Amino acid sequence: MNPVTIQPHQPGPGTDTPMLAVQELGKSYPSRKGDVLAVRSIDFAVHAGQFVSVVGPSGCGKTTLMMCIAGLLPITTGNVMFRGERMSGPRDGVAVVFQDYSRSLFPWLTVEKNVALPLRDRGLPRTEIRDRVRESLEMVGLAHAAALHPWQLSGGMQQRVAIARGLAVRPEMLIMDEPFASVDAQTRASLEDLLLKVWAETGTTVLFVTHDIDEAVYLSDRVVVLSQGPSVVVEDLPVELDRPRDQIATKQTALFGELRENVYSLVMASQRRTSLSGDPH
Amino acid sequence: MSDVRVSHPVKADVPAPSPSGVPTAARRRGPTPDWAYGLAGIATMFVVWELVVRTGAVSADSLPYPAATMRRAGELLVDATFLTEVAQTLWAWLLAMLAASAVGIPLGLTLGYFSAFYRPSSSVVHAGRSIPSSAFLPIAILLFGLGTQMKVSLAIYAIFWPILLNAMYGVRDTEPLMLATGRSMGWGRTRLLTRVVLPSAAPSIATGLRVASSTALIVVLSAELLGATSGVGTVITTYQQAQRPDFVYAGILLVGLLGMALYYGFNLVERLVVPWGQAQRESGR
Repeated sequence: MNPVTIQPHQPGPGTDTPMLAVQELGKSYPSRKGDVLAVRSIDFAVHAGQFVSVVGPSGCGKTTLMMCIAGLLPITTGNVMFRGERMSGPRDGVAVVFQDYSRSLFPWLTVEKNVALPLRDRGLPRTEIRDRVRESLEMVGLAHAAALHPWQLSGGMQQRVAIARGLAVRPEMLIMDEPFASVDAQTRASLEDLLLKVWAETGTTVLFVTHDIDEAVYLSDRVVVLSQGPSVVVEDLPVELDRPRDQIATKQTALFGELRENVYSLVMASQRRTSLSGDPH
Repeated sequence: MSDVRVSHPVKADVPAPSPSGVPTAARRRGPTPDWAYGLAGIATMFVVWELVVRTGAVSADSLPYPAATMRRAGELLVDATFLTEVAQTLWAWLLAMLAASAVGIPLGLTLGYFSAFYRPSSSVVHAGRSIPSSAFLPIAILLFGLGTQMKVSLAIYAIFWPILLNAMYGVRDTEPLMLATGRSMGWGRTRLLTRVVLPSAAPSIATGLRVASSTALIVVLSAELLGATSGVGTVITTYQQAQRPDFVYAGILLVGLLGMALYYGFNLVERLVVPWGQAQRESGR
């Protein structure tokens, strides 16, 4: 495998300032019966270089939260701070990878051109763009597929193209919304390891949204557990498993089992609480 | 857990042999090519035709033998007057296609893009396209006489709706996630329009044009059969009045071939210009 050289990003101005700070973020949608609250109040922070996962029961508003953090949906209350600045929309330095690769890659462009998309409009020289595209594709092991179209690739490969597109801008932070939810179990395991490798090589900060508890614990430095919607943070759990992690060995450790059980019971408890509380929403 | 035994440097997964994942070129390399089936269908048609006439199920006065018809078709194909009339028909077809596209596509894109226009306009569109263009034949003859203008105006009416609707739907069906992807890269309204909305509407627009091309030909021919003064249709009616069924059928046969050529021509252009449309259809979307 070619050694890929990408400089890790410099830590922010003050090292105490987190890369991302989500402060009392709330989100409601207007509907005919008045506003529907999807996210009640979320607080957490992600420091530069960290790998943080957000998990929660299905329907807890994970995707909504992710869209808000990425600046793709306006937030109703609270703040999203990026390096201490209030975020008011999508910004450079933050790349997003969505769950549904087949609908987030553009079928009319080749793999190479899809990856080059976020590099356009930046006044970069042609050669620089070409190099960066090749570099990102090499990182996800798809340099050979550059000239193909997304629909000529398997699901796992398409998601790797989407990851490469995220990496092409050398993002300070990569936001991923259940990126591996629509691929089979084996592809998923290899994509997880690929992501850890890329993360280690680039030093990019990762915010990873998933409903899969094992995946969250396996990948992360920290797991933020959300309640059933309208969601709040029920726990912010450090994951002190050794790195590099291994699909077999890491998952066999006692600590992994404990963390997994811990997160699982938190998720289940929050689900039970809401289903018994009789809140009509 | 033996099913997740994945070793460390992760290797590329091979493209899955799913119907959606295989390049189209590879899929076409089957044991029997498509055109062979098409040819078999046409051959069968001729055999049935021959049998129907030979057994006397239909008398040779009403339906001539295939061989005789083919001979007449051959004669027509080298007949300069006939070819001029074909050119007249195609000219009317082309004018209708150009005019309907020039108005229908931009209007459809606009109506589809602005949600304020979409609902009000779609009710008008559905009402409009329910009226067969033949209903306007008397008016068209009154307004434009029996010339090309009349044929073209009827055809424009008939094909304006499918072209408009497909452009509207194409824009309307733009994948929201693709728009979100564009926005996450910092694209504004103009870039989203040119880089996401238009390319994703293109396959639908192409479908509209393909449907319109068949319809336009049918309407132009109908107008010719019903009274226009030029075009292939008038040749057919002339031979009908001269009691020459062999030439009438030869004309019909050639018209069929013309329609087929247009259809396959459009299909080919569609595959070359908007290949992603086909890929999306085949992956079941």
